[in-house]
Amino acid sequence: MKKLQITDILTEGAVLVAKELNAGDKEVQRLIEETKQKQAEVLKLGQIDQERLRLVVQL
Amino acid sequence: MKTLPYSEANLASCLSNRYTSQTQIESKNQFLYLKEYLGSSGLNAQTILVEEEYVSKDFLHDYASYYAYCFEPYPKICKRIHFFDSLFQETELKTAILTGEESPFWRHYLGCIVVKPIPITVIGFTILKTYAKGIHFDERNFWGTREYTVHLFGIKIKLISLAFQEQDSVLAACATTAIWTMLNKAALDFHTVLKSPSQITKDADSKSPDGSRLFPNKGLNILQICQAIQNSGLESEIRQPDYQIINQHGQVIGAFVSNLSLKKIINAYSPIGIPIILIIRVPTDTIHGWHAITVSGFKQKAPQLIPSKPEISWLADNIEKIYAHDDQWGPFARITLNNVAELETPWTIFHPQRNPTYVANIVVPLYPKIRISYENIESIVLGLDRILTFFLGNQAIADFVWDVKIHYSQTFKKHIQGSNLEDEEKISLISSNMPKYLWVATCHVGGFMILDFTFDATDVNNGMIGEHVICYVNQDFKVKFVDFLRKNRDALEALFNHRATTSYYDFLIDKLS
Repeated sequence: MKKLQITDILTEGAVLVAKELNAGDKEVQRLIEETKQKQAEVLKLGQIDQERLRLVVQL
Repeated sequence: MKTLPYSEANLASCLSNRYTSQTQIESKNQFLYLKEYLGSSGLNAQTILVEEEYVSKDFLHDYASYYAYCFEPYPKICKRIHFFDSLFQETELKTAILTGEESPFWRHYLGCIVVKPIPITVIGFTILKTYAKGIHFDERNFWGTREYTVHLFGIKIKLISLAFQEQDSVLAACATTAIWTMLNKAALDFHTVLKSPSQITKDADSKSPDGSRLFPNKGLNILQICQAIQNSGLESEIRQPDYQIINQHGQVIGAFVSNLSLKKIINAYSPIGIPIILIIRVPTDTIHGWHAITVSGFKQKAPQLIPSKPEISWLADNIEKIYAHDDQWGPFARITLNNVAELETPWTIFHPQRNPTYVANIVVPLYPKIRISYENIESIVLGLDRILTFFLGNQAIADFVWDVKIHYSQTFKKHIQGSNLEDEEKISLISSNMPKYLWVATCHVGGFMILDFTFDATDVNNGMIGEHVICYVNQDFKVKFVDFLRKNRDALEALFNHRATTSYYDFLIDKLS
């Protein structure tokens, strides 16, 4: 078995370059903010609702 | 001993006892379930063997706790019925007993049910074979099962299953039975203690949630479930609802766990093999009730080519069905996941309006050494996905699909051994010292596994818990990725929403260089 080549995972003719993002670009900022928002939502799921813990399971 | 050809009537007759008639058995949910499970569309049982006298350790504990003190002289000896998928007469059975374990006769064994000598709740310790299974995509993967040895007339018969029993309703409620089922697997680890249902109920609290006596038991709340789990040597992680049902006036009428969230949690913790407890809201004659079941398997579709989309893609989303022990129905009950948060359980199937079942909470029992929860890893993966999306742009052949799972380090080393890494890199990883439990986030593109990120599951979340970054694409990819990370540190570092942000960014560069 050999390691994958870059071409295996890229569309035909695509060339991979290490581009520099424009940190001031509004779209870049929006995507970063959106990701941070999702991360906060995920971490919130770990916080337990104490009231819910008193739900009696009885069937 | 007595043998009978398998039929629904004979099954009902065998399950009946002095306190429970065959008609009463035939009206039970468990009978409706078992006759399908054992019937021609299921395990295809052909013969029933009845062991009239059987001493069940589980029942003895419960007997000593309660039934021995009743005025009614309940017997302490149970009955055990065995199932085979071959037709035979008593003479063939006798020959097989005399031949011993090497006789091919025992290959037809399907499992057994202990019938308790008490009213109505007669189904005791039960182990039945699963339906056809495997560990690959599109197969039923029963990760929560274990090997049992059934001793029958001096013969040891091995069977892969997970023990089932119906709730006693005096000494145990559904939650107790769900914990008992889970412990049957978890207790293979020497830190965990398998207890009888009455012992589990006593472990949960000294009184019922309404302040009244513990026995007869009226149910447990989630806190008591966690307490009982802890007293058996495990810890619990609770998953909260993330989906709300809103009525036409905009009011929240229910908060539940979404199916995507459920799939992610089950997929993530399944490699450890401890069954997962679901607190579900089931439709009943009186609107609904709260119930507990134990998940021990799932069926997952093979990965598909997913075109790029704004939301992150999860391999767990390919889970179509889960299999759970529901003490009010039977073992390995099939549950289909529909829409955003609806479950099709036997409760739904047998409900006149087929009202859906919902998951209220998930209780994940874990070995105490596993201290980092799934949410902590998912948060890191969200950042990694965004970084890779910036790096590859829309040039990748498909969307990134993430698979986040917790593994024993020895399982992860086996995965490395069979990978496409160069031999030297394999040896270096396999011979390195690793924590016992590792979180592994794998990134796939169009069916190719391109990266593994591993994290120490036993560490402290405040620190940087990254262990390895393993790249399955050639050196050129790594060089360009590191170059990209170095050029964009200022913009991308914030994507690690963590106190150790800088350390995580350095970890990425360091492990890829």
